[in-house]
Order: sequence, then structure tokens, then C-alpha cells
Amino acid sequence: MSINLIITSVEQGLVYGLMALGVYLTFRVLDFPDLTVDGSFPLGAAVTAKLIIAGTNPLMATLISLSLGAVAGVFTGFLHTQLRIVGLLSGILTMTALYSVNLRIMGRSNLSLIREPTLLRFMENQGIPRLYVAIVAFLLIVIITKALLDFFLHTEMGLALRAAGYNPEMTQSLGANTNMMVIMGLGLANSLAALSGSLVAQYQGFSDVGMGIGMIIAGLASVIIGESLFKSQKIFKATLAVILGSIIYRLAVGIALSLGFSPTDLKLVTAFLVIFALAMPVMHNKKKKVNFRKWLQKGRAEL
Amino acid sequence: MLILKNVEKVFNQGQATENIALHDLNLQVEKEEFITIIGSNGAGKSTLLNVIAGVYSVDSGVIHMNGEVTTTWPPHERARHIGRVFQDPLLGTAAEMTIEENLALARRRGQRRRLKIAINNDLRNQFRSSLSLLGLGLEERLEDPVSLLSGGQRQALTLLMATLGEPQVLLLDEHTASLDPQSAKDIIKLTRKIKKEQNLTILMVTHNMYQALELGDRTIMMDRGEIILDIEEPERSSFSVKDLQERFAQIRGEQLGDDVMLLT
Ligand SMILES: Nc1ncnc2c1ncn2[C@@H]1O[C@H](COP(=O)(O)OP(=O)(O)OP(=O)(O)O)[C@@H](O)[C@H]1O
Ligand SMILES: [Mg+2]
Repeated sequence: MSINLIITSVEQGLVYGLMALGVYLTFRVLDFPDLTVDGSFPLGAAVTAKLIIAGTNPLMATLISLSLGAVAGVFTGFLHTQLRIVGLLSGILTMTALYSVNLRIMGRSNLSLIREPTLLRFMENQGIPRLYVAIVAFLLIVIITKALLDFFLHTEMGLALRAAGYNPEMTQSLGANTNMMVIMGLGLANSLAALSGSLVAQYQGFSDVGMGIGMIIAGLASVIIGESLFKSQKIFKATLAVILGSIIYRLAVGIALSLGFSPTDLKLVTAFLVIFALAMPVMHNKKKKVNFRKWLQKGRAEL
Repeated sequence: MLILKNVEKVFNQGQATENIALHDLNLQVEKEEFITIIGSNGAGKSTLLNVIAGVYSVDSGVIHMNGEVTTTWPPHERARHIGRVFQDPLLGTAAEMTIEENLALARRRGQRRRLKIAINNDLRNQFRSSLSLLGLGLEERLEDPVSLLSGGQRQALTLLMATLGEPQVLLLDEHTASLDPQSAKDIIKLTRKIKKEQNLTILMVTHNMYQALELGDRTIMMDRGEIILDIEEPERSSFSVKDLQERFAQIRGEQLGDDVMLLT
């Protein structure tokens, strides 16, 4: 393993880790299988690229992207809670709609940021060595985001959001509006996905309309790998596990590539990684076997 | 305090499985009354509580609570007035969250949930002293996830949570039915204590007719979506379980001819 591979994997693990935190929030905390992420991630990238090229300050562009991601999540929440469309389908609808939106925003299928001022370039100009600029920037952003998310999940509102995922009927019986919690959670999760997309575009120097494909699975893979490291009911540890899971996932991908897998086969590899991770407990542990079945049945029932 | 007027609830209306769960039901509950509700399986007892709590909307009729018409309110708004304990101990708490988090959640009943850390040391002390009254040692386990508690402990915690945030009405649906005999006894003791110490109006569903007559100050019997018997003190204190059974056979016998159905 070369040092370069490690650095790149950590960079990617951190920046995609933001998206994985969103997936954790929906799949694990809210118990809502949200597929909006495949659309809100490239939305963040598209908006950022378009705005930066138009001369907007990159920080501003990033913040606007993040807010629009929230709008996408809220839309999915609206479809589910107000129009009563099943969760899985609500996310797919928003994701599909976003494909057109993203194309419209960019005006074509990809935009280059190679010669544009980005957040990373800004930091580079502040004197941080080029090799470390992405790691420093992403680490900073991930730490701040994780701290904010951990804080939120311990507030009165955050408790209600978690309870709405674990036990909605009880949460209502305690006077909390679970629909609002679902909408808020989806908004938050997709703003994280859009933030991740925005930063990835600035990091790799372009935005592409197809860059969201398979995001959910990558996010899920990170969440699952994180849980296999340590599963904790403490929020601080759980979100830490997600980020570490994301880094390990990117390392695994990097190694797979260096072993000669073609980049176009990556989704296949990832899908099997997730299948493998999901199947592990089935093969090893009786108690989890039930969970897995439940998980599958739930997916089926939703469709 | 709580008034139901001509309440009708039909499940699967218009389908082959159509089921009239509540039929033209009228009930007036006075403030601080403690009513026990009995009736055979499928009589509509749970549906009655769910309709009061807003989990099911009524097909027709009106519900008043505390002088307000709450017929169309969603459950989370009615929860401002209503605390609930379910039959299944798993339903009343969020298992993955800690004891103190569950209590903090319950505490904000009827209030806005703020972007403020939900638990601080003052609250912890408050929680500890409330929990110590349960006598289960839970005050030492504030940071344990609820999933580690036994059914009886969870039910006691749920009962405590149901009284936080100043609800006026407590709805208990066979809240001791899935517990072992000792835990069931403890929960009933706790229920009595809560009634004595707080000025709550209580509706309690039970399958135990002895318990129904012994607890509270009014007993109603339901059958097929209707209230067929409603007895209050002082008449009630002279009632025995046998009387209840006879009255049931008598009432249903008169209306339905040779109905021989008995309560179990
Ligand atoms: N969600 C529902 N959908 C369809 N039918 C329902 C639903 N809930 C209850 N019912 C039906 O309504 C009737 C009344 O049910 P309910 O649960 O209120 O009875 P109960 O008196 O609580 O009985 P038990 O003592 O068994 O708890 C039953 O025939 C039941 O099958
Ligand atoms: Mg019932």
C-alpha cells in the first residue's frame, strides 16, 4: 500500500463520510430507507460548479448547495408524510426528478472546475502544503459537522427525531409530531449529502451529472463497515464509526483498484461488498438473521 | 372533562371485512374519575382508547376534551392532555435510547421541543428522585438503554413517562396483561399511587373483572362496540364478579334472544 493510496483514501473517506453520515441519519436513526441521496449528492456538486463558474465565492456556493440539498430532502419528506407515498418510492421520485434538475442547472452533463477558485485552492493560497490541503480541509469540516450533528441529536428536538425513528407511535403519544421529525431528518441528511457532493466537485475538479449513481450503496457500505468496527448506542461513537467506516471503505476501493479492478466495475464490487456485509451476520449469528430478514421484508413491503 | 357523543368507528368500511368497532357510543367522563373498562375480546375497548387518543379518527360523532373539540386533532396534539400506557411494554418506550433520554422526551409533552441539550444535571436529579419512588433501582441506571430493562421495569417507566408533562387523562390499555404476576401487582400498586397523588382522570382497560371492580370508582362494560353496562359508586361496591356476568347475560339475553355468550 503506497502512502499516496492511503492519503487519497483518507481524503475521500472523510469527504464522502459526510454523505455517509446522512445515510446513517435516515437508514439507522430515522429508520427511513431514503434514496434521495443519489440525487442530492450530484445536486450539491452541480450547484457548486455552476455558482463558482459564475463567480460566486466558493464558501457561499458550498452553503447554497447544502441548503438546496435540504430542500430536496424536505421534498421527499413531504411526498412521504403528506401525500402518503411509501418511503422508498418517495426518495426514488425525488432522485429521478433531480436528475433533470441537475442537468438544467449545469446546462450540460459536466462542468470543469480545474481553473476555478475552490475552497481547497483558497486554503492552498493560505500556505497549507498542497499534499495536505484536502486532508486538513476535510478533517476540519468533518469534525465540525460531526460535532454539530452529535449536538443536535442530544437536543430536545434531536431526541424526538431519534424516538420517531425507533418508535413513532410512542413518540406521538408523548406529543411530538413525527411527520415533522421525518421531514426534518430527511432535510438534514440530504443537506449533508449535498455538502459532500459540493466538496467532492471542488476536490476532483469537476461536477458530473452521473456522479451520484450508487451513492446510497457506498453510504450504506460505510455505515455497515463502521458498525462492524463497533456498534454503539452512544451517538458520539455511532457517528465516529460511520466516518471510520467510510475511510475503510475508500481504502478497500483503492486497494481493489490497485489490484487491477477497472473503475467501471467499482459499483459491482461495492454492491457485493454490501451484500457480503449484510450476509455476514446471517451466516454467523442467529439473532441478526432475524434482523436481516426483517430488513429485506421491509424493503419488499415498501416497494 | 372528556365527552364522546355518538361516536362511530367502522374498520374496512364497504369491504367484506367491514367491522363496526364502535357503534353510536356515548360516554361522559368527569374530572378525576377513575374508570375501569371490561369486555370480551374484540368488544372495542382498545379502539375506544385509540379514538380518544386520536390514533384512529372517528367516522362520525364528536369528542370533547377539557372544553375543546378534539375530534380532528392529530395524536401528537391530543397528547398534550393524554398520557398512555400500552399492553406491550415494548411499545411505551424507545428501547435504543437511555432511561434519562426517554424521560426527557416525555417531559416535553405539550411543549415546543427546543434546540437545547435535553438533559442537564438538574433534570438528572429530578429524574432520579422520581425513579426512586418506583422502588426498582432505576435511579442508578439513568444512562442504561431501556432495552436492558425487564418488562415490568419498562412498564413502570412507561407509566412514569405517561404522567410527565402534566397530562390530565391517563389511558391504560391492559397495561399489566403481559407481565408476570409480581410485576403486574407492582404496576397496579403504582397505578393506585399515581391516582392518589396526582389529580388525573384515568381510563383503564382490564380483562380481570375482580380488578375492574376493585380499582377506581366506575366500571363500564363493552360489547360489540357499545357500552352495555355502566355502574358507579355506591352501587358498584356491592357488585360481585358473578353479578357482572349475570347482568351481561341478562342484557345481551334480552336484546339478542338466546345469547349465551359469557365473559371469560
Ligand atoms: N386497525 C384495525 N383494522 C381493522 N380492524 C380493527 C382494527 N383495530 C381493531 N379492529 C377490529 O375492531 C374490533 C374491536 O377491536 P378492539 O381492539 O378495540 O377490541 P378490544 O376490546 O380491545 O379486544 P381485546 O380484549 O382483544 O384487546 C375487533 O373486531 C377488531 O378486529
Ligand atoms: Mg384491546
